[in-house]
Amino acid sequence: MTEELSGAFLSAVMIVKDEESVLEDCLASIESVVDEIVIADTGSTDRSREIALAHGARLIEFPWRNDFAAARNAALAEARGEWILYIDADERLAPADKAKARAALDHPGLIAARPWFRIKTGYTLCREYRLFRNDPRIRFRGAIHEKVSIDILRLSEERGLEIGEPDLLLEHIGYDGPQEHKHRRNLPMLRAELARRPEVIYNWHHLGRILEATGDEPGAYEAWSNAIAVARRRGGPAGVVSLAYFDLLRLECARGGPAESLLAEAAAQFPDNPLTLLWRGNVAMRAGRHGEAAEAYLALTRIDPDRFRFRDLGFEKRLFREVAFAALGNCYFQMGDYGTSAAFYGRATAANPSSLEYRAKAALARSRAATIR
Amino acid sequence: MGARMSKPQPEESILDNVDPEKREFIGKLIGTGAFVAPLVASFSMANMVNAEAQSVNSSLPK
Repeated sequence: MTEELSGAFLSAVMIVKDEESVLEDCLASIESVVDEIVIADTGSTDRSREIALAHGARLIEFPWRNDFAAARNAALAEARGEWILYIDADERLAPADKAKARAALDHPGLIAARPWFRIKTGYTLCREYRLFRNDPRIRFRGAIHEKVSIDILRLSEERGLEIGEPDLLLEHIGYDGPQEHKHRRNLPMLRAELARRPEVIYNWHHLGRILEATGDEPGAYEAWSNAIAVARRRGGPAGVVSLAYFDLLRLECARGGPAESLLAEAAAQFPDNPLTLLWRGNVAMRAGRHGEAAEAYLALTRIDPDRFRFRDLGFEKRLFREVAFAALGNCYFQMGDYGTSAAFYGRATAANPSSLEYRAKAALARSRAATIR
Repeated sequence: MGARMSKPQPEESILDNVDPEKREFIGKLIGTGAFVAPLVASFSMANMVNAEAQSVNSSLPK
C-alpha cells in the first residue's frame, strides 16, 4: 500500500469479527494491489484487530447489530479511494499486478467491474460484483446477503455506464470445512429478513440449504417451494432460481415423488444450465429410459470444467467428470452393456482414485463383461 | 451395445460375482486380507447422482 493516500485509487473495504485464522492471508493477498484497507470490526475478541493494524489497515469499530449492510456501509463511508474492492476475510485475491488492475478499472465509462470469483474450492469460476466506484449512491442493501449490485445496475442503466470484466480472481475459502457456526448465525437472520422481505429468492434458497444441512428436510422443501413460488409470480435471478428448482427436484426424487413436471418447468427456463442435463439424466434413469439418461450424462462429460464459465453460478467441477462417469457406469450397467459400464467406472476411478466404490463397481462390471463373452 | 445374458440385480455382493483372482485383488484393496467383509454395490435405476452448485450473492436477473 502507498503511504500517501491523497489520490488513492483502490480501497479494500471489509468487515471482520474474529477472523484471525483467515485474515492474515487475505490481507497479504491484497496489500500489494490496493492503496488502502478499511476494516470495520464488529466486535472481535481474537487477534483480528492486531493483524489488521499490522497490515496497515484503517480500523473502525462498528458494534454488531445483525445487519451486514449497515456494517459494510460504515466501512465504505471511510474509504478514500476512487474505486472500492469489496472482499471478505475468508477470500483471497489471486496474485495480480497493481498497474494492470488499475489500467483495467481506470476508464470514465466504467461504474463497476466483476472479477472472476471461485465460490468454493473445486468449483468452476463465475463473475461477481466486487469492484465499484466510490460513489455515495452505491451502498449495500440487505441485513443478510447484502449486495451492491442493485445500485450498480440502476446507475449503469440510468447513466449508460458499463460494467467491466477484469482479469482478476477472488477465491472464497469460507465454504470449505464445517459450516455449523455459520448456519447458527445465519438462520435467525434469514428468517427475520424473509419476514421483512419475503420476495428475496436468494434468501429462501439459502434458508432451504441451511435447513437441509441441519436435518430439517420438510423445512427445506417448503423454503425451496417458496423460492419457486416467488419466481413464478414475479420472476427472479436466473442462477439462484435454478438452484431452488434443482434442489427441490433432488428432494422430490429422493422421496419418490413426481419429478417430470418440475424438471420440464426447470428445463424450459434453464436449457443451458448443466444441472438441467444432470437431472434430465437422473429422472430418465429413474423411469428406466436409459438411452435418454446416457445422452444427458454424456453431454456433461463434453464440458471442460477448467474452462467452463456460467454467468452467476459456480459448479462443482466433479460434476463434469467423476459424477458424470459414475452415472454413465450405472446407466450402461442397467442396459446390460457391462464393458462400457466398466470403462466409465474406470474413468470415474481415474477422476477420484480414492473411491473404493468405483473400483469395486468397475471390477464387477468387468467380471460381468468377461462372463458373457 | 454388448450381449445381455443375465439380468442385473439391483444390489449384489461384489465378491459373489468376481473371479478368485480379482476377489483377492479387491480383498487387498479393501485392506482386510484373508477375510473380506461383504461389500454391497448398488446398481440401481433409482441411484441419483448429484453435484452441487452455488450462486453468487449478486445473482443476476435472467
